[in-house]
Amino acid sequence: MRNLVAVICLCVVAACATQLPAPVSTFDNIQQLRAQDIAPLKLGDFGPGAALPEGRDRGLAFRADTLHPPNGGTFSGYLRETVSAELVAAGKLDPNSQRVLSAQLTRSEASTFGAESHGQLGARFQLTNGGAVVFDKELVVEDSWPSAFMGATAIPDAENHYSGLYPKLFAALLADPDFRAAAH
Amino acid sequence: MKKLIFAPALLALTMLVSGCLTITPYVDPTLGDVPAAQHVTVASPQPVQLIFEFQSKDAINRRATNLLEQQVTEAVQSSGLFSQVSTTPVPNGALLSITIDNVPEADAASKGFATGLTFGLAGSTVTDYYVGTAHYAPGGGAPVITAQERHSIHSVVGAGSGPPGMVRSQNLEAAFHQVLHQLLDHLLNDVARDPGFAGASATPGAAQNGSGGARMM
Repeated sequence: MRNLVAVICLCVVAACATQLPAPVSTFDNIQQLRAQDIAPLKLGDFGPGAALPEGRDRGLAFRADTLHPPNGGTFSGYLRETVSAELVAAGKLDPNSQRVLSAQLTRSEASTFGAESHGQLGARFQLTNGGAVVFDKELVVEDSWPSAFMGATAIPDAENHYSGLYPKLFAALLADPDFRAAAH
Repeated sequence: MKKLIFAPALLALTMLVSGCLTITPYVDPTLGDVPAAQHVTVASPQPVQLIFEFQSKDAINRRATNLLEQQVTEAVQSSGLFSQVSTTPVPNGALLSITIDNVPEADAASKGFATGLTFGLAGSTVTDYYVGTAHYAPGGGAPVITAQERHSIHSVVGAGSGPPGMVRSQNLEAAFHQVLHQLLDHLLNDVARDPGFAGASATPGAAQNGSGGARMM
């Protein structure tokens, strides 16, 4: 019996940790950055919001699997990397800019049980210009998708959809009229 | 590779009891290669910024994207349509996005269950569909050119013969690379033959090629 428990524990451990690959830029966000004539931005601090459950910034459970950010980082750091990748690809990242974009991760959730899975990601974005706050708003994006019974299908599906929320959240920021006005 | 060819992998997972599983992939011949005479030539190739994304059922699959990015970049570079392919902005502002979406057959798992119960004697055929989409923004506010093409791999799992008229591949990896090559070849040619594509010279007969094609947006 003890051996059986050990084997089960090993199986669970072996199958329970997945690391997100590095973010990539997206066509739509690059086009939006160009079309909206967003001024070049500098990235400030990206961290967990006060309401984010403890540990949620470092791992998120998808059934028996736990998804972790790359290189032992945080999901708020992953949001920063996502925004950075988009800005670099659009030629809009400038470490000397007076406009500084910061964010606090406020929601990071996924549910993969039942016939339909759900994911939600939220952040409070803040834009300062020369030290003065010109934009401060929380934005939340969601996704839902059919959930397979088999974990081998449902878990990678969920992780793909969850990671897709990061560029989607940045797209929501770019679409926000107040942000556009402040970042112009 | 199973992350890129989902249906047979899913089916195989449901057949663990059989222990003698064989998967024989067949590439759908409908799309095929772009005939040499229909390849668009470019008089003055311009640089382009490339964005590539591999999706699984309409959701970005970052692992597969990272795995294939170099291969796709090389394919775009070797097409001769661009003078330089870059991941960062280029002087003319041109931006090319290529997305490949893998959509496995919906009931692959149930087919696999039936095949597994008979230890592979009752073979199953499952299909992976691939939808390739290219967006080309020439820069300077010019309209975006969009092209879309479709391809598929039919995999026979267990005993059974292949679908009629299909081209048998050596293995799943070879089948996938053939599909990727043909999709990229068609997508790039579709984009390049569009009148809005800077630097392209019209090629007679090119417009009758393939099931997809380019359109301005």
